Amino acid sequence: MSHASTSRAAAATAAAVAAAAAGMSLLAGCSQGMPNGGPDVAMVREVAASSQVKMPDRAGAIFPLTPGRTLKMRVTRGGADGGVVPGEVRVVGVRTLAGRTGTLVESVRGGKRFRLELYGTDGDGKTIRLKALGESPERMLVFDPPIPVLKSGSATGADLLWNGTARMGKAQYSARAYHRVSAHVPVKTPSGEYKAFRLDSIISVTANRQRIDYPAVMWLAPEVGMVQRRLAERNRPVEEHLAERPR
Amino acid sequence: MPAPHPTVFSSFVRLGALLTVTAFLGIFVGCRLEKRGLWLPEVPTEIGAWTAVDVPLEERTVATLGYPKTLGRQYVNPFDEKVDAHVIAAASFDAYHEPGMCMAGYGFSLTAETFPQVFGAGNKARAMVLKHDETGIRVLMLYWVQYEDGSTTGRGNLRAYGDLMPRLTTGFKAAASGKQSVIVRIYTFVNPNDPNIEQARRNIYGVARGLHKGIEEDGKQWRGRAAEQRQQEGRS
Repeated sequence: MSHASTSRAAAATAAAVAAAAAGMSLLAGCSQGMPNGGPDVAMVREVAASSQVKMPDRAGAIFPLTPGRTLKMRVTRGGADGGVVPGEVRVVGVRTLAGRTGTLVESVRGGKRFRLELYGTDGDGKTIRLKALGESPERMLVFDPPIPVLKSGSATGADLLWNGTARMGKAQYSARAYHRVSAHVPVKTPSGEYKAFRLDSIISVTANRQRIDYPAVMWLAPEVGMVQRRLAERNRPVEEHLAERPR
Repeated sequence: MPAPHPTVFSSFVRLGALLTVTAFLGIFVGCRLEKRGLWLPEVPTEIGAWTAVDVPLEERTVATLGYPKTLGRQYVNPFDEKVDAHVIAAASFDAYHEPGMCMAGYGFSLTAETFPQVFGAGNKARAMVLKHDETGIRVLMLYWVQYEDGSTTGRGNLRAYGDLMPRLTTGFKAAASGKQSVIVRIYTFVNPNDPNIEQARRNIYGVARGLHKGIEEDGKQWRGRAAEQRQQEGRS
């Protein structure tokens, strides 16, 4: 074979290889792609069971309902006429309101009562349930069955879904509630810093095809109780922070 | 005119045979995929605290996927958090399109990819993070092909319009397996106030498992109906 024909064959082979490579590139794409990982890979891995933080096993350790217990709060109310006022969250004791008996918890702001909650605990002492909620003893929404709010011993990520009815006087509405422990985070308050469980909650009542939501977020620190709370009151945000560490 | 050299002639024979095989393969895969693409399962309307509303896929997306049967749902929980779900009948190779492709057109880039066993041993999904180049907003996405018996595959590397080979491989395997399959992709936007993105991850994995279970249930019914139909055809 001559030198010229060898060169031609080599050139033809190279051209064929180049054409094949171009064809393969068109078929297979030329992007580098993402190896099994990437800078944000931790953001899409499932939350490991081992990384979830467990609440204390005793309901009273995370949500104390001891009669007489009072939490001094600093209340910040949003809106044009908002401001900061002192407040309290008091565990009044066992009371009967709107035909239901439970432990009454009263929230006071600037000396004025603005929220009443009636709680009960299941027989196993683990699940806290909300029996009634309102602004005054005369205007209480009574829930049937009582809404499960919190189950002690559960870990972050745990949730409780409830479907039932809400009654006010003679009127009865369909209602839905959802509570979940979404995180275990540090919380700064005037009384110090706590590691607290964030409890997201919403109670939705449907009246005349209109849904009324009662959202609330509570931060609960073990052996202390509520250290921060965020509510929507008549469409205005209200934020409460623990002002003094309870004795 | 001189007779063609025997080697030239045999090359033509080989080429002819190759073309014949390719044509038959094309007809086989086409028919199989078309039959495979008949199944579009019912998916649950409620998954735990999540309630779904129908949100059909955009016309442009359906066109890109080759007009298969599709189902678009948006799952919303009581806190108004959302997870979007697309269920696509595996009717053609086009249906196996790069899941992040549609997002790329809106300025998102892939920043993470992994293949977790979301649905039990060996049953994987492809998990991705897509980040908006300008705003930094992130989207978590899970993508999997689910067969009528509940088994899944995550399938990776279907990266761009040019990445035909992996797409062909995925589609060919679905066609050859002889099982009905659907393509599922779900995604959720990450709330900037979500520490460590824990809630978004819980949301997307929770909805994924609920969807998988619902599709698996529907698959069992489909298999029952298909077996009955085969029996009836056998009798007649």
